[in-house]
Amino acid sequence: TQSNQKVVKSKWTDRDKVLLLCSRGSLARTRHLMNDFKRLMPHVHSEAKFDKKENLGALNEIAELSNCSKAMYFESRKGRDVYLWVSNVNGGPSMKFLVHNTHTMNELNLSGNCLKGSRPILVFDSQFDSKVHLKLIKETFKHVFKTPQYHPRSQPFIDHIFNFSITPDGRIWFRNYQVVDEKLELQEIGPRMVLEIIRIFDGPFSGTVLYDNPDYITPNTIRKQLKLKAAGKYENRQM
Amino acid sequence: VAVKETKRPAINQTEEMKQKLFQIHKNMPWVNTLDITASPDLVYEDSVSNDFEREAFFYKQAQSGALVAIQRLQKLKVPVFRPSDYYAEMAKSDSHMDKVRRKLLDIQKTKERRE
Repeated sequence: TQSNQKVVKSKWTDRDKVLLLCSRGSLARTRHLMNDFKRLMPHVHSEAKFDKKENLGALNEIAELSNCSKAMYFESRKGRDVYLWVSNVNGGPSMKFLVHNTHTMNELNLSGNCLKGSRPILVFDSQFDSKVHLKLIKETFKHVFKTPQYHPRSQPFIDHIFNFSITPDGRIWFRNYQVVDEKLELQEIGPRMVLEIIRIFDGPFSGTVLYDNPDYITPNTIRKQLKLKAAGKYENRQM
Repeated sequence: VAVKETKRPAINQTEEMKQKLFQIHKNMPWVNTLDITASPDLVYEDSVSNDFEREAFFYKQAQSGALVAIQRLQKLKVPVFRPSDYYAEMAKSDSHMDKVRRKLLDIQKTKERRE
């Protein structure tokens, strides 16, 4: 009977999985953004909301238990500031971003659409190669956002592009476009987000700081300074 | 918004980061990652708040990347474009696409009425 058994070798060799979760107390918009990524990335494994009281290191255990080698974690603070952690669970590095200008697929009236789970083309700005920390971000993003070839939940056609651009203020802009036809007309699909790097750590969700963005100002400081500015409004008025 | 800057001591461990980069770099065929680096000529230098210019630039960058990637994919004989008779679940639901279509129609109608 053994000769009758056919050995079917799967073409799917790259079994990288990405853990995707958000913190407790996340805004609806963050949750929707996460769900958008879940729809676009078939290699993602999602878990229940993470309690912020727990040590971030617990995320490594969660990832390990679900066989994920990378992790994306949206952390909300004060009901308005959203941070994104992107981490390589096996030995680091991990990076923390402040997320600006998020727009989900649902709230954007964009006419593009793509197959659920089709593999994206990743386009990176050439400036990613200009500095070491940006190179590190690019390499990590490459492994997080790529959908492995022949992934069972992916589609056999390639019909959209994840575009990562860098603007003069050093922020990374994420856009998702549909490739409509052979003339390479594009149509945006969504979601949108802008990432500002805060820090890069040596290990997964831990470790020594390898890079610290000198231009980063915490949202708290910005709010405080705006308040201080407004405080003198009447005292400083010229009579 | 212009606020007073509070500079912190910069940390930039270049050597350690290079090492890390070497560690995580995987030699896998390009077809598995489909990553493209845009041409160095394409760098956005305009103001960030200039919405129209900015989005037009992102579009151009994505398009130039797609051109390179699709040529490469076709050389590798990987299917790219979906045949018109291939149906599968889409990222956005039909009801959402209907909503978008209605919205676009509305905009067009108001435009015509204005003229």
